Amino acid sequence: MFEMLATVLQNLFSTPATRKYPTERRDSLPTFRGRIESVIERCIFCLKCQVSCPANCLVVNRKEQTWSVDQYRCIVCGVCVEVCPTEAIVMSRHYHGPARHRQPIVTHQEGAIPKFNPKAKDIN
Amino acid sequence: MTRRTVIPFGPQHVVFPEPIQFRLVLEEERVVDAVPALGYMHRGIEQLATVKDFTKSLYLAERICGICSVMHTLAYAQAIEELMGVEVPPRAKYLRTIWAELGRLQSHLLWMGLAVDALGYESLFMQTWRAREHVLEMIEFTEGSRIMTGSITIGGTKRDLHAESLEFLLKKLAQLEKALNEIYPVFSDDPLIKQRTVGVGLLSKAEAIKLGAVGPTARGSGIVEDMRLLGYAAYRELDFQPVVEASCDTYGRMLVRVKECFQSIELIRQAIASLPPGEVLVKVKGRPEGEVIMRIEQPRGELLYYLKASGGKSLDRWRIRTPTLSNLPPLVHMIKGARLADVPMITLSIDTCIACVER
Repeated sequence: MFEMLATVLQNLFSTPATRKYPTERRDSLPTFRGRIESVIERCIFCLKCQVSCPANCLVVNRKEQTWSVDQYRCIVCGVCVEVCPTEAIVMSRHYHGPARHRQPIVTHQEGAIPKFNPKAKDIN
Repeated sequence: MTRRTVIPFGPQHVVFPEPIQFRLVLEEERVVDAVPALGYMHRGIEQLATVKDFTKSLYLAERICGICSVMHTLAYAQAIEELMGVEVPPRAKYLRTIWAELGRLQSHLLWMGLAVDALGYESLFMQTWRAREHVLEMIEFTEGSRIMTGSITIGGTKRDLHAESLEFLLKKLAQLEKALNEIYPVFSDDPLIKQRTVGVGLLSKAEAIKLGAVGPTARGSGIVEDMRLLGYAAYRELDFQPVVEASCDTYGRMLVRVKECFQSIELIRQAIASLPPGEVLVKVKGRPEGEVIMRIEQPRGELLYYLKASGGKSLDRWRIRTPTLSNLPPLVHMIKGARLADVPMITLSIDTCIACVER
């Protein structure tokens, strides 16, 4: 009984265990999976990510050279990042931002489709 | 003759984190009968797996329940590996064990918080969840996410633990153990907690066997039963004994969970100390064929998976029996004869997880 009283008193006079959120924010941990981002310049439109996505949130359009993700469907499992042969999808450690309307984020690539070279580690 | 009253307990009730209903038949203060009603959370996951690619169903398994997400992926991955005859690298087995134990820790700490909150212990509730934050930070640092971790995959694990992560784990485990040591005497000795739990919700050893109790509910009734003794993942190489309490009441089941927290810390330390080097993932090719039954120990008890596949891209059948379903008949038995005021604590004592039961 009195053990608890000591803890209660200790909690009363110690600093809070939680952060005062809007003024004090914790940065995401370096290993955190927050959202996926596209580096569209490297994309070769092979559709591997679209086929392997468990949540069906990716749409790759080879004709119009666009790559789009519905961030509100994405489950951030990281499968697309693993299967991408050119490292055109990267994992960001920040959450996706708020939006007024639920719509996919479309990235568009200008110019010609580069030659397929799965062995190349870094296209740039 | 005393007049009988029927009181609906749930589906929305302050002690229930998830919806389930008990229709309690009362004679004055005593409960004479209890009829559980399920079906508030059905999502059709088993059916969806019959049309989805079997590699994608892994993420479906993870989403059956938020608290035991690691356990469901572990069971699914192990079942598919057994079907396809894949041998997982030893390092991956140890990593799976570490993550499974972290999952068990966070689940037990969550339950401990909810249980004492139902008894009216606001300060202890916050203290328990403050300790749980250490576990969640460990999970976030090593697996990349707090709840839906997605780190176990068919053929091994997606991530590896480096020296920095292991150091972080050991540091946090020490902090967690210190916090648990402060909490433990309150759970075991506090007179008010004892008054509300000792002798409440009795389930004798014979009844527990007859009604098929599993997990901490069975171990709280003196049955030595733990699926980890089967030796899946790395449990065969680790040294542990199941925590068993013979008091057969809510107090016993509570103590089993509190003591298992210490056991999990010890298991993680053992696994870190004997972590073998090497690869963590083997490439899996082909499609599963055949039938398999996989049993693993969830925080709430035995989880049983039955998988049937015939070489197609999706499974033919995926049957899941979760521990809460097995523990419902013992729960109904415990409630009968109890006072109405004790019903919340008794229902909590089996750690109901309705998302698991209804898939």
